[in-house]
This record gives sequence, structure tokens and C-alpha cells, in this order.
Amino acid sequence: MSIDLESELTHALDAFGSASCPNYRDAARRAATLSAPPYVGDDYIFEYQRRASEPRWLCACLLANAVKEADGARDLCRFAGRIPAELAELMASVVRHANDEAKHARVFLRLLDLTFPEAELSETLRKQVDEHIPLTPMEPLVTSQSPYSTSQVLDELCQINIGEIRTRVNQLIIEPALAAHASPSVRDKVVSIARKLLADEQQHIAYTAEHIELLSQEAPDTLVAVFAHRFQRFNHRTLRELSGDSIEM
Amino acid sequence: MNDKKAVVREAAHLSLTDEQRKAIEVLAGDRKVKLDGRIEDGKLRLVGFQVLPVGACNSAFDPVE
Repeated sequence: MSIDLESELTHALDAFGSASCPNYRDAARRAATLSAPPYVGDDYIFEYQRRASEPRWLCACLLANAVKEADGARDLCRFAGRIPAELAELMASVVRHANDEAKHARVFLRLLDLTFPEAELSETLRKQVDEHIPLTPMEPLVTSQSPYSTSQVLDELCQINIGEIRTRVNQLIIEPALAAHASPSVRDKVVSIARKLLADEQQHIAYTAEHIELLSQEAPDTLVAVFAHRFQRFNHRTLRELSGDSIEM
Repeated sequence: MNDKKAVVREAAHLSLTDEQRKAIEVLAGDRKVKLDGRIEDGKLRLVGFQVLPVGACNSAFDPVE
């Protein structure tokens, strides 16, 4: 089973988008042609699910996701703080996104507790993870640094969009594993939570795509170049993460 | 091992029968997982895991140019 990237993007925009985003779709299509994303291929999906069949790995995966969602929430607030005033609508969307991610961090802990009630986190680890997750509501981080230029906003939005695509794919892959591990009494609840997460990721793909489209109106060729560059770098990063080769996670 | 591979491939299709779910649980081993570690410099370090699972990425992964 492989996942069709273009269909994923179409579904996200159909479900949550208000524009067709032709420049964005073209840039994504070209980027995937130049550098095939490893995370939609059979080998990646099989390996991820093989590992997810082991409770210890899946528990670690849920915990790692909680921490990464918390990190993402803070990073998004930093980004929001540098969005120029004329892009107020984008800033509001990014702040909403940050709040979603902070909530997702707690959702991943909830999935861990529901799916593996027998699992034990050391007291220190649980406390540190709880403290690491930002409280909501989050606000843009006030900074003395100058606002981003349009091209910098476009670059960061492309990176967020690409990261969200892989995040959704990972969640598509582990959802059935969560269902398999959950006891019958909580299985429906676990699946319902996992599907809500999947829908949120679709929404994040859609809103970033729409803003990317708006920002690229006058320079679609720039979008193609930026998206392809970041897409390729993220593919390489994914491969390094898989092998654990000199990367901070 | 081959049986495990077959079961996990079925799981990828997002629609599991009760029998398949049971098969995964049986293969899954000990559920009394103990996780220990710490968050150091903002990074999760789990005892016994040299490589953490590829997790969520919801923000920029490279410095913005």
C-alpha cells in the first residue's frame, strides 16, 4: 500500500479549503516528481507499521509526538510574532494552528494512556513532558526582530505545509495500529481521537496551502523553486531520522 | 516473522477485522511498557531508544531564508 500524495492534498483542500490553489498544487506535484517523498512509499509504511505493532515502540512514538507537537506550538508562535501586520489574517491562522498543536500534545498523551493503560512513564519523565507542553491559549511571541519579508513568510509556510503532510501520513499509518492495540472497551474512543487528529492535520495542510497560493500570485516560479528545495531537504531529513544519522529529534 | 509481516500489511489498509486486530495484539508482546528518560535541551531522550520514532513536524525544519 502506498499513499498518493496528490490525492491527499486534493482531499485536504476539498475538505477544508476554499480555493483550488493551482500554483500550490503545481509546485507540490513538481517537487514530488523531482524528489520522491520516502514517507508515502511501501517500504516506509511497512516499516512504520511493523514497528508500531510493538507496544514499547508505539508508546515511545506517542510520547515523541507529544513532545514534537509542543515544540511545534512554540515555533508557530515565534513565526506568528514575525508575520507583518498586513498579513493579519495569516497571523491569526498561525496562532490557531499553534493552539491546535498544544492541544494535540495532550491528545497524544491521552492516546498513550487510553491505548496502553498498563504502560508506566517514570515520574520524572511524565512531569517533564507535562511541563514541556505549553498552556493554551497561546499568543504570538513578541519579538524585537524585524517582521519577515514576503519571501521569508512564503518559505516558512512551505516548510510548515510539507511537515504537516508527513505528519498526517504518519498518523494515517499508526491509526490502525492504535486500533489494534486498544482494548475493545476503548477502541472506538481511540479511533475517534485519532481521526480527529487526522482531520486537524488536513485543515492545517489546507490553510497553509491557501496562504501559499495567495503569496505566490505574483511569482509562481519562486514558489516552485522554494517548495522543491524545502521538499527535497525534508525528504533527506526524513531518511536521516529513519536511520538516526546525526540528527536532533 | 513472515506471519507478522502479513498481519502488519493488512493493518495498512485501515480496515481491520477483529481477527486481524487480535493477531496484532498477540504478536505485539508485553504491554507493560516502562518508559524512562528526560527532556534535555528541549529534546526527548528515552532510555533504550537510540533512534526515536519519526514524529510530528508542524513548523519550519530549516532556518528561513
